[in-house]
Formats: sequence, structure tokens, C-alpha cells
Amino acid sequence: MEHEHHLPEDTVAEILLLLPAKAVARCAAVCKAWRRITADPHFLAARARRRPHPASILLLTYVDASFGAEDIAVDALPISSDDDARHRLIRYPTAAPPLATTRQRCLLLLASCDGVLLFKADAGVYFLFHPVTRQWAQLPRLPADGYYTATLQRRVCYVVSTGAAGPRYLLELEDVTTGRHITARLFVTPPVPLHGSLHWPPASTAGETALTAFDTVSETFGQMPGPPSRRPWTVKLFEMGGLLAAADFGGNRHVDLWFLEDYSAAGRWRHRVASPWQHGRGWPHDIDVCSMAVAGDDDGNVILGNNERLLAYDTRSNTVRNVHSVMRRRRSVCVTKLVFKGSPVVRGQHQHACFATLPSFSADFPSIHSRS
Amino acid sequence: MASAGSGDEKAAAAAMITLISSDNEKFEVTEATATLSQTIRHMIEDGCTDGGVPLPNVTSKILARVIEYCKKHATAAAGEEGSSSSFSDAAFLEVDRAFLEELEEFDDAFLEVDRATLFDLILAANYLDIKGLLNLTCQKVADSVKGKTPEQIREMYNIVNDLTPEEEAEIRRETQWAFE
Repeated sequence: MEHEHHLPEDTVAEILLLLPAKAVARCAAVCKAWRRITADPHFLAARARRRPHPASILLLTYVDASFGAEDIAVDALPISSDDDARHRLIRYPTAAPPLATTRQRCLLLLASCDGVLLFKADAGVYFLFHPVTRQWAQLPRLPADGYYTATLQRRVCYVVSTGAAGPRYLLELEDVTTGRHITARLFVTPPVPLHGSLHWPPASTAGETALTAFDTVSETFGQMPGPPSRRPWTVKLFEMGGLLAAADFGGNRHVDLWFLEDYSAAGRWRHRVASPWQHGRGWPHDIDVCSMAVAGDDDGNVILGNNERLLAYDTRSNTVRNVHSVMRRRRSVCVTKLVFKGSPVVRGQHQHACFATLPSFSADFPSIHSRS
Repeated sequence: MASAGSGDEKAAAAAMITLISSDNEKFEVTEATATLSQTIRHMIEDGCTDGGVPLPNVTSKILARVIEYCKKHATAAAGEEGSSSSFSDAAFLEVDRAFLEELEEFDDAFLEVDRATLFDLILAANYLDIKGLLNLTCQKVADSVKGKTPEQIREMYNIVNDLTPEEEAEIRRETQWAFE
């Protein structure tokens, strides 16, 4: 051999760009140069452009770190349950979060939209995290710190937006007023964004099942008809192939899947399929239902359940599989109700300064969070 | 295939380019073959190919292989253009399918080389800016890395582990999920 057979770094980067997430993570442990390549923001951005991350459900994984400490990792598990494409978005210690916050509390993952994660660090302190570029941005502090709530029933509601506008006061509700149907589920369930509105599952009222919707343009709440259900409080909403969908966990042996056809006009809910399902023994039914997550992708895959029983349901072939990679580690994994999709990073200006000054992402869906 | 062949000959009569390897060997190729390389295409457009194109980064052994690839794929491109007008749709699709299969077989056989040659082909494809060849060869390396542990990758490609034990431990912590 007249010369060493090594490839220049840009060529190695070309090769590593062709690999799935898991293989890239392993390659980072080969040598210094490969580690540098796989951590480079340009590489990460090129990777996101070339292989957009499949629609995923987010998992919180508790990892033992050194010296008896514990870390939290946010993992994205593809809705197709393809474990090879499982992808770690961020990992941080429970005791000392990656950003200095006033009281060093643990970060709380609140929402995921447009490829960006929203964390709450402290009262009124919110951070955005961009997993592809690994950049953080702090939202303007909520001006609510001086506000004292006389009773627990009183809630102040803010729009926390990933867009340029920043958090702003939205409305104040008291549970005893007509706002009851809104507040009942507003703050425990992440909303489903679709067609410019955020959607919450039906409240636990008798009679008709009505969904709560928030129009992000007019910033007003409204109601829309929900799918027929004998137990409306067991209904979970998700988005699938551009349709608003609902999973009814009220049955004992199956989960009914409903789809809202023709969103704009007087939409009709159509029952499409039922996935076989067995509720856990030993748990009261309602508590069991509370922890259930459900998500769908554009290829007909639905993932549903919690860390005890997570099922991947293929609506095209009508087949169901257990997601063993999660159930095996059920003691250390929590299945969130958050869906992670795509990334806006590839559009032109994605560099640090832009994110630090709060960029205006298009397809901007605000997340609503309350201070009570 | 007859029509594709005659098309190639017509192009050959029109323009020939001389490529000169690092060890001074001369290769006569048609313009259609040479312009699969964006680098050479730009040289032709700038009119600086008289007296041959020197390629100081590519040995004759590798250049011969690269030209073999370009000839096959240039024929493929010419065949597609030529046949679309002279065949009915069904016949065209049939020929198309058969041709793509043949091309795939060619690519598979083309990649049956040792690692040193494969790396040289990647470097040449990168330098000459031949997209198809670069993708083909890089994919071959990527496939060989898939599913391997870092140790296996190092051994396969003679890579020295220059990470400190601390760095290695940290990477393992960060990427533990990928090893489960």
C-alpha cells in the first residue's frame, strides 16, 4: 500500500448520513473524528433534511447516571414502532437541569410541536429545545408571578407559543362558571393541533360528547361534536393522516377508533376499526384509562397504551403487536401523550442567533399552559 | 439495445475527450461518458479540454474502473432517451425494467472490490463529482457499518481508537439506547 486508506471527514460524513439513527449513535463511539462528525450541527441538520424523523411518540426514560444520580431522557419512538429508528432527543440530570433556573427544579416536558420541545423550568419560566441543532431558547417570563390565586378553582390561562409572539395572557376562568367544561381537561391533556385549532377530548359530562377546540387565529374557545361514546371520559384524541381521530378506551375487549370526516363543514365521525385490547387487571378502569396514550401516523400505524401495555396496531393489515422494547423496561419508561414530528430546522436560517432570539416557525401551534 | 448502441456511436463520432491519469495513462472516452462527471462537464463547458484532461488525483487502475462505470451508465441514460420515442408504452416499460435489472446487476458486480479499491473509488467519485458512483460506493460502506459494534467497525476499517476512557464512558452514557 503506497498510502493509508482513510477517507476525509466530509466523505465519512456523507457515509454516516446514509445510516439509521441507531447506527449513527454507535458510530459516535468509534473514534474522535467520528464523534466530532456526528455531533456537528451541519451534520445533524443534513441528517434531518435527508431522513426526516418519522412521526413518533415521546417516551421519558429514567437512566441511572453515575454516583447514584438519575437522568431523564426524552426518546422518540416511531409510531410504526420501528425500534431501529428510535432516537434520543435529549438527556439531562434530574437534579441539575441543563439550564440554570432560579430554583434548579427539574425540567418538566409540557409539549412537542413542529419539531420543538417545550419545557417548564419554574413558575413562569419556559424553555424551548430544538433537538436537531441542540439549541435552547428561553421564552419571555410569564408576567404572572405577582398574581395570587385565592382558590385552587381559579385558573389563569396563557398562550405559550413557539412563535415570535411569546407568552401572553389569554383568559381567566373559574371552575364554577360556564368555563367548567374547558378547565376540566385543558391542563392535564396535551391538545391535538390540526387545521389551525387545538383540540381536547370530551369532558366527562353526561349526554352529548363535545370536544373543546381553541382557534389559534381568533384565540377563542369553542365546542365541536365528538364521537358517540358510552363513556366519553375514556376517549383520547389524536391526528392521523390529516384527520382528527379518537380512540375510545371504554370497551373491555377493544379500543374503537373513530375518524372525523370533512372537518370544515358539519363533520361526521365515522367508526373505522377496533383494535383488540385488554385492560389491565388490578387497576381501577378510570385510572388505567388516564395514563393511556394514543398516536397515529400517515401510513396507517397506530400506537396505543402505556408503559405496562403498549400496542402497535397496523390498520392496513389489521395486525397488532406488543411493543416489547418499551414493555420490557416498563419500570424505567413513561409513555407520554406527546407526538414528535418533523423539524423546521432545514429552512434557511436555523443558526444559533435566530433560535436564541425566538424564531417564528411557520406552522406555529401554541401550547396552552396554566398557572394555578 | 441496438438503438442505444447506435446512439452511443453517433455521440462518439461527435466528440471524444482524453483523460490522463496520475501515472500518465491516456483514456479516450465519449463526451457523453465523460460528462457524467460534473467536474469534467464544467471543464468542457469552459473549453479547457484540448490536449486532454489531467486527473492528478486518480490512478490509471481506478480511472479505468470509473470509466467502466460511466460508460455503462451513460448508455443507460442514452437508452432511456432513445427508446421512449420508438417503443409503445408497454414495450418501453418492458425494456426499461429489463435494463434497470441489468444495471443493478452491473452495479453489484462493480462493487465486488477490496476495501482499498472501494475507498479509492469513493475519493475519485468525490473528486470527479459523479453523484451516482459516489452514492453507490458510500452506500456500500454504510451497509457494512450497519448493525456493527464500534469495536467491529474499528477492526474492519483499521481505525485507531483515540478516545480517552472518560470520553468513551461519556459517549456510552449518551448513546446507551443504541446499544440495547
